[in-house]
Amino acid sequence: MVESMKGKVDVYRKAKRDLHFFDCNLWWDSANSRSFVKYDSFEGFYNSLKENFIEKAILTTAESNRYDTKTGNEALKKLIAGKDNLYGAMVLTADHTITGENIVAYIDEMVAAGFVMVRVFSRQNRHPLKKSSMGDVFAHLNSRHIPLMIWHAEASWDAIESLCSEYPDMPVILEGNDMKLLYHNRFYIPLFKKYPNFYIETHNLVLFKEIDILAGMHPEKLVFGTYGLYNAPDAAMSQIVFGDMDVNTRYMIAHGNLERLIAFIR
Amino acid sequence: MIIDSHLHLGYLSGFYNYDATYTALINMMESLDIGYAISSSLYSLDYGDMEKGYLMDIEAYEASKGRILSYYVYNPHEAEKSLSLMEKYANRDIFRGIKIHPSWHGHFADDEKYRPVYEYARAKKLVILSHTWTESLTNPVQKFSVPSHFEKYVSEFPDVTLILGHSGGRFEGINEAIKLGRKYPNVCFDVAGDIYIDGFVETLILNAGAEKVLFGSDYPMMDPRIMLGVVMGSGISEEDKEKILCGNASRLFGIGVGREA
Repeated sequence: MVESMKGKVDVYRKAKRDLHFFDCNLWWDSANSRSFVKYDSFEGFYNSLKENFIEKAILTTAESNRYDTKTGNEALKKLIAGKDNLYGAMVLTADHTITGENIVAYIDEMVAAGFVMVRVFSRQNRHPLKKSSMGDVFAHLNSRHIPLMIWHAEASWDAIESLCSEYPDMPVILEGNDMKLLYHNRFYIPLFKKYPNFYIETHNLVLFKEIDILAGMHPEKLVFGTYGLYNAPDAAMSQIVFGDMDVNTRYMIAHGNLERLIAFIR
Repeated sequence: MIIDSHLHLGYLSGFYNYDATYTALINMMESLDIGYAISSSLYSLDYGDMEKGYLMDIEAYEASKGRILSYYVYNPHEAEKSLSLMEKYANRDIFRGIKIHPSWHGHFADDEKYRPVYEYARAKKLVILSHTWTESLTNPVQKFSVPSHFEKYVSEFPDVTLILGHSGGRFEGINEAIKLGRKYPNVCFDVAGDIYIDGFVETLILNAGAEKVLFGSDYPMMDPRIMLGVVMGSGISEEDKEKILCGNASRLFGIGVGREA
């Protein structure tokens, strides 16, 4: 029995390795106190990625989200510097509309430093996702094809749909946390079918068979993410490894779609 | 072979369900080498028609050639009816335990309304599986099912095995569940649900012991492939993985000892 288990585990590990995972939703949280796995340093965390078969990742810092966006973004710039397999996700708010900062120049500077995605937490940071507050952010992301990632609990579905329709060249990547994403599938599945620029990050597609069914609709619009370091990477990987999909689709979701999105950034 | 000791047959309202029939469940079991599954029907547990739920359970058992087993449901609002239906549908080949859900039924787990189910489980030598979770701002009814509320009955009924479904659900609840499990030999855990916190399985095994942890998926709300991967990819021994995925449930529910059809 144990030998048989070892055989299954070996097959599973090999399948993970062969998929060359590119994680678009990886977090570094130096103040994480609600986790069973502790990392003494960022380097320790970074080294663990290889053991977990994550070959590349887009990293966000909790500091950008829970402390101060600019401070966190700057810290992240240093963390990813010199690491070819790490990209950054910058968090933006509406502060530039208050201060008069040139947000377009800021975004360009960050992209030049290895940032490939923008995230907004409009409920937590208390700002609407409208031009009156966000200024030229979305128009600029649209013109450069820079992806925007949004938690489902951080924006209304109407706001998400408006972003998709008004900025068709800006990939909008939905990710789910806190409340189960599955409870909202009557909202996001129609958006997934309707808007070519509406993508879904996979880690919270937990409803039975949902990932297979979405992959059957638009395999090119699912991008792999783990929500590590909070979540066990296997939770997201196993869905792809055991997915009821062909090999090509598996590769697209595991890494290909995200590589394509990044290559499209102007 | 894998035993999934925490799943459901049927539909839950509020979102679009894919195929939640027993045929879909049997297909899923085939594809993942799940030999046996123990379901608590959503028709009994959530919708509230226990008898029709049991009839659906029996149909699933027969269609699966004895591989889909079931839990009775105890509803504290209908204690007498719950127990009389357990007597009416007394086929222990099909019904292997009792499911309680303090959050959905709106009573704290240590409410006196739960005393009859522990007495019944003791008399009939049945395992109880309960939903457990962590207090939640977004889902206030979870307060009824936090692990500390179960201490009253697990201490009073040491001969009744209680499985803490979802092991407390989130970080604080998991830690509470572990404390309970370390103190009481009759407390077990399952890994069902979206409990994807890194290190969860390893922490349970290290602190509660591999003999006390069962594999469960919470299908169809949760895709069984996810937690299967978490267990298989975890940093525990192959022996412990085998116990979680099969051995412990086989022992607790008497599966694989010739009772199955």
